[in-house]
Amino acid sequence: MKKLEQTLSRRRFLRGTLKGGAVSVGLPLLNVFLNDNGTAYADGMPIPLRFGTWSWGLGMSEPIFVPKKTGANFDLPEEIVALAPVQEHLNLYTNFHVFKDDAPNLCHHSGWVVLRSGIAPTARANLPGETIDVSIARQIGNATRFRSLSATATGDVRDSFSYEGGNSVNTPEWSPLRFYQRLFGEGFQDPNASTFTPDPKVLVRQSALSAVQEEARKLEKSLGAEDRARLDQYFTGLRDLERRFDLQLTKPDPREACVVLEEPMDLPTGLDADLVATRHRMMTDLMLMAVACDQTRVFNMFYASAFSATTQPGYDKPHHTATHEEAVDPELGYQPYTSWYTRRAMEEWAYYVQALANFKEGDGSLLDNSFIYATTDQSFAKLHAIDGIPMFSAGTAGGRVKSGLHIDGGGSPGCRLGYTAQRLMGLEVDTWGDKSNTTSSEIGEILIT
Amino acid sequence: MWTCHASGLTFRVVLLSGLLINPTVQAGESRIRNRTISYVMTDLFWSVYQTEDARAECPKGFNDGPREQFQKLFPDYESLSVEETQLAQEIQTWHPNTEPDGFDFFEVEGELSWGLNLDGKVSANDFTHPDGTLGIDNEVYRAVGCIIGFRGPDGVEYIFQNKAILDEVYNRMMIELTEVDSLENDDSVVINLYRGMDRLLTDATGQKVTAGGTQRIDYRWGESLIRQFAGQIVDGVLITEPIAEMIMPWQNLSVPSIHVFRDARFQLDLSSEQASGVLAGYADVDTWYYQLIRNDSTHHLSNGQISGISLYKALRRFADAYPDPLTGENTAISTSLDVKMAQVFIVHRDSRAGE
Repeated sequence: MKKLEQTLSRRRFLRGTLKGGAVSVGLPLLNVFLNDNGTAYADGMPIPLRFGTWSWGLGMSEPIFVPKKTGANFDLPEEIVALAPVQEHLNLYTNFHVFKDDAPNLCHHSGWVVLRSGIAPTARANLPGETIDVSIARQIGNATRFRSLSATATGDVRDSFSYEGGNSVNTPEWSPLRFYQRLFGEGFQDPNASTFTPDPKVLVRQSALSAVQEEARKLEKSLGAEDRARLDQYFTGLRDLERRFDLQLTKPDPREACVVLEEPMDLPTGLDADLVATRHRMMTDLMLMAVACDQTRVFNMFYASAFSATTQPGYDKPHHTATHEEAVDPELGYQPYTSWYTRRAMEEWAYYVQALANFKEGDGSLLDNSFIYATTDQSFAKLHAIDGIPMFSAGTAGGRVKSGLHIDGGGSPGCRLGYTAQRLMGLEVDTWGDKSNTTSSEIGEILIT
Repeated sequence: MWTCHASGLTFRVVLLSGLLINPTVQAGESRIRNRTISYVMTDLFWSVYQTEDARAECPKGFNDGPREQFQKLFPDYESLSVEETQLAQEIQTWHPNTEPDGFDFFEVEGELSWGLNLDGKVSANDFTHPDGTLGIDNEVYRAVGCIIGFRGPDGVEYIFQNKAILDEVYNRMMIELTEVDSLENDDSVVINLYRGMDRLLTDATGQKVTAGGTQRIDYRWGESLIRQFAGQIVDGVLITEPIAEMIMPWQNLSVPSIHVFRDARFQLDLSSEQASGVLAGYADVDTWYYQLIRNDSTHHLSNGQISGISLYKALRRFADAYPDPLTGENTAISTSLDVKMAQVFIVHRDSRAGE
């Protein structure tokens, strides 16, 4: 066996030609590639890490959201009681702050932008930096068909918390049917299929790309520094294209949890809470299957927007409107209708985490090899408060992270969780965030050292 | 200038303390410089006297807003056109009148109110200050005190206005007290009112304004806002003479607008780091109303159960000053605003702060 391990690696390809083009065919994921526990490849390379984000709108009702107890086995107040089945898989972070410093508090904007980019925006049109998923995708997303994928349960293509920069928002998949077609339609290579036939059209495109790159390199020699910099950006795009072509010409590693789903029915537009939940579950199932099939390792799921307009039957105010118009019940100490929306969000968060946990992978689950970062836009939405903004994580990032904990941030920057996530994903970042959101302090309580 | 010698080298140290834009101030040290101290507004909102359960001031409860009125006016709205329903209400909002709208307006019925005695009289319609002072004129409170959007801590007008003071610059108003000999007692000070141009000096949360910031004066677009008036300091309280007409820039929900106050005056508790109290005067009714509906669409009015249609009628009904010479109807309404300010160093066009 040892001799075989030395001669075979998971990156061993069978190489050949097809219609004059080079074709490489990956070997299937044989047991020989894995260690005795099935937790990593025998050569020490771990099963791929995945990073996901999840977002809900309009924060929480603090008196019934924040547990009294910190650490393990924390209590689940009524607004998050839906998390009971997945409590062991997640961490809840409270009393972490978003700092705006000298920037304005942009309602329903500053909170999520800081938690995703580390920088307080100065205007609503301002999307500073790049979001954490983009940075992480650059690190771990290069070996898959999609560097990252985003989807929204709102049915609105504008709803995304992922962007490369101010003018470059990563548009989400908003229709289950369209999402399905993108994932499993043209260009999809079933990792568990017994046969593999490279798409001849890809070979043609690859050939054309090579010719373009050759011409571009000749051109580069005659350019000044500024134009060469511009051309370098262009090359970056070409390299990404090239990478995708290569992947399409390579038989993917088998993935035990990967099952090609049946094409879904599309859903009507609308934001009724039941409809949003249905859409969320369909998009979740598609997204997680894409992850299980190793189509991407970075994925963003958007349950509700910052100005969430989700509606509930028999009540005339959508979620955002309710946060501002509904009075705090003096006896209950919270806004009951508003809390109803948050409870529905928590039900969907529980579904999402459970869905990840249900995918078997090696001796664990897809969730065990993932780290999910869940954020919202406000703490107490009625006042547009961003102090004490709640966050979650789910998954153990390949055994690097403890779960089942409630962490009290003690007023420290919420960006610590994003910083921790980046470190977990292998980014060599010494600090993250701007001004008072700057941190170089991981949330050590969750780390397994 | 000091000259010191070290290792054979000579250093000349120039004392710059009088020239620094933001001179270091030790705790407890007076911030008066050249008989001048300035403050910038950090909180500004209509004075609304509130009891815990609101029963004393609003025994009938709170007023309905656009949504509630709509339900009552158009229970069968689905059979009606938008023109007959929503647009009809919008037209009334933007072209208000004083005719009854069929709804009972719940005005403040309590006896207590924050504010000042603006006319020097004590009449039956006046409020009493919680400290016992009689003759308080604050009819805006009578109109808005039972509308939840104007009540703290979470009324929509309350939170957005105080948020806007921190976040925006258009409304960056400040006072400069000159000829000050003491912050405890001074029988004559001269106050300049300016608009600043700079963001506030805050802590990292951006919510707590710190004394000692710096502001430049907006001489260009803010020139028409500059006022000078007299005042005195009595037992640590600044009491100013009325300003004939004061224009207050007002920005809420990113919409710039103004209020116009006549006979406006400040009454502020002073310290070296802050000033707090009231700004009271007579607000021009139409300017007051149009500021509200320009800044707040029906959506935001609904957030605070504010019926513009009903409120306008109340404002006109309670207006108590400056009668129109032709109709005899009052055009202004007494009011009071709670004000908080932080000490700031003002940079003049031709000089440096603190000089």
